[in-house]
Amino acid sequence: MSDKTPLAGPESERRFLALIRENEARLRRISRVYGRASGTEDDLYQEILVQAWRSLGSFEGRAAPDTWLYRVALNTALSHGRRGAARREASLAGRGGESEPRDPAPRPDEAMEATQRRERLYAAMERLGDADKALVTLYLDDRSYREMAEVLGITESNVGVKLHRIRRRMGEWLGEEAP
Amino acid sequence: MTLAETRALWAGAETDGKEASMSDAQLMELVLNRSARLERTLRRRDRRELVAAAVVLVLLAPALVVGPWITRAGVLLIAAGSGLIFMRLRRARALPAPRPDRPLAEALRAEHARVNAQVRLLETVAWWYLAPLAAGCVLVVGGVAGATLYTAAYAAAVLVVCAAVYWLNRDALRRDLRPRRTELERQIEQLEA
Repeated sequence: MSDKTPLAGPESERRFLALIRENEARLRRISRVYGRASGTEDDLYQEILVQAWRSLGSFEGRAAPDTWLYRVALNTALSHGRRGAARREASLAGRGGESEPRDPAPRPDEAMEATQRRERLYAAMERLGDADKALVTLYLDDRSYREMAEVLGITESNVGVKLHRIRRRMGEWLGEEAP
Repeated sequence: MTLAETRALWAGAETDGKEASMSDAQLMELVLNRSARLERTLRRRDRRELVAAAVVLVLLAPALVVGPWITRAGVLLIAAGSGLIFMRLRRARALPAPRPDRPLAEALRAEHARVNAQVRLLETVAWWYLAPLAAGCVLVVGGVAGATLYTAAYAAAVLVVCAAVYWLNRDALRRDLRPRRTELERQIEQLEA
């Protein structure tokens, strides 16, 4: 990943903190999607912050701040996942990176159905490959096809085709109407 | 679950219990510390290689002046080998580093190119890393000790060390670099297919 460090100073720090605070929930969700299965959510979140800081100096304003931050967060998450893949002994069931979902047993202290449904959503997302997770994350964050294409570096039509396929699969896994 | 419901569910996972977020000061301290640690690791690696090459050359330089011609040939071979190692490692690192602020497909391809270069380096480590150094060491000692049992034993020991280093490199290929490359190819295919 990037070897650059921004010039430290109050202005850089102010910009950085403003960007992070505005997007904290989004970054947390990304960390959860990619770090939940391996229990490295918090570590991934911190890594994303570090990469965002180190990349701040190269932010030239050509991309929207949101797009820029999504790229940093998702690239960091994918890199994080690759280090995990190198440690794993066996490939994941020969299904292009998909895994069997962990059955999210309802926690006794969680009364709200929404929390359990959210866990099922995360579990379904864990079955996707890392690149597909990125697409779904952007989709659930209500990004336009154009924004998704800019973050991912693929065409808008490719975004549409992939989303259609992923939504159908997730619908099956969730056992409900496709989102 | 409709689209609206799924998105509402997703948005509701705002912080999922992580509301006790760090203060601005804590966040900056964490980021600056981790960033500095990463910088130190990178600089230490580069310094270590430079120092290793310099130490080898400084230790062997006198033999260039006073040793028998075989020993001097060995020193030159080690110097050339060190230079080759240094250049090949630098060339592999000169490939553009994947920038995390670039589109995912572009960053993945850049990382793939770098990992592929590292795989190729390790796959050929026997000839560009081990052979010149091993041959040079045997010549250095052989030039001084002559065609003796000592030189033969030394050559055997050098071979054993080379075999161990070769095995370690193959192991790093198997455990780390090849799985990473495979994972990168899988991610690129997922994105672009």
